[in-house]
Amino acid sequence: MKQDYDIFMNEVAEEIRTIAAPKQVDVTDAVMDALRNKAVMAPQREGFTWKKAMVGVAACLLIALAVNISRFISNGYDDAAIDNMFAELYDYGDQYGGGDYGYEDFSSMSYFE
Amino acid sequence: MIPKETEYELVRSVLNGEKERFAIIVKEYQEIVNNLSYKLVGNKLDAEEVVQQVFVELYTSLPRFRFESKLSTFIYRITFNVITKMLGKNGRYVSYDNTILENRPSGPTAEEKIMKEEQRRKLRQAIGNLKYEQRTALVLFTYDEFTYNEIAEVMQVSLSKVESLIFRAKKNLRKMME
Repeated sequence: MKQDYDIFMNEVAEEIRTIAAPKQVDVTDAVMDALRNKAVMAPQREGFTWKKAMVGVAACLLIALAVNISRFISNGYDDAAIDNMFAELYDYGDQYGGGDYGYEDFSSMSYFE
Repeated sequence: MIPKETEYELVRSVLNGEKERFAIIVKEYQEIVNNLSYKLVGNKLDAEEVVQQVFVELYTSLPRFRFESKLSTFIYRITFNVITKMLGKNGRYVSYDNTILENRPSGPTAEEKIMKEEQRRKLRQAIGNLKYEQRTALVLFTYDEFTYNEIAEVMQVSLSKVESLIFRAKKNLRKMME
């Protein structure tokens, strides 16, 4: 049985060896032309780029915004918390010379009805 | 075959900006890549396309080449990845051109010759019917005589996965030939 198996596997190996491409190819010119025409830069290790840095910063800001929005929503539209938040902003404006930003009394308003 | 040290020098010179020297690498390996591609994709047009893509990909991937391993293994890995993208991870069955079977003495009588040739066609069809990953592992093992470790490096899988792929490939071939 093992002998039959070995004979069979030898046949498989032999057949795989004979599965050869019908003709030889020479793609050297095509490849070199492609590399020249595409103006592919000389391969170099990738490092820091400003584009990558800006993408990273934007991603962090988006994540922070998403986290805050989800916290805002999960807190159940707490009017008192909203009032506190705007009150702090208002105080901040007063403290740093922003003047009257025209904030109304938010406790009388209901945003999320 | 270019000696290893010369290969490394060649790669370093290309990385240092001598782009035209890359042609030497293409000339050296294109036939090997062509034959491997044909065994895996089954037709010459796709195989030629693969060869071109492999060397363009090789050029842009050269910075990732680790000088501890063989350049040929790196090239094989890129070839496998290019073909995987072309065929999809699960691959498709391939049908080899049966008219290109080599003329080999296959029996003293005409009847035996016909039977032998039929057997070969059936076996070739069975190889083409293997799943892509099994066919790849089997081809690398039998044709290129890669070790299991080298196959694992080319296919970026574990050693046990390679053993399993080759075992299942052999088993499925036996089943298809019954």
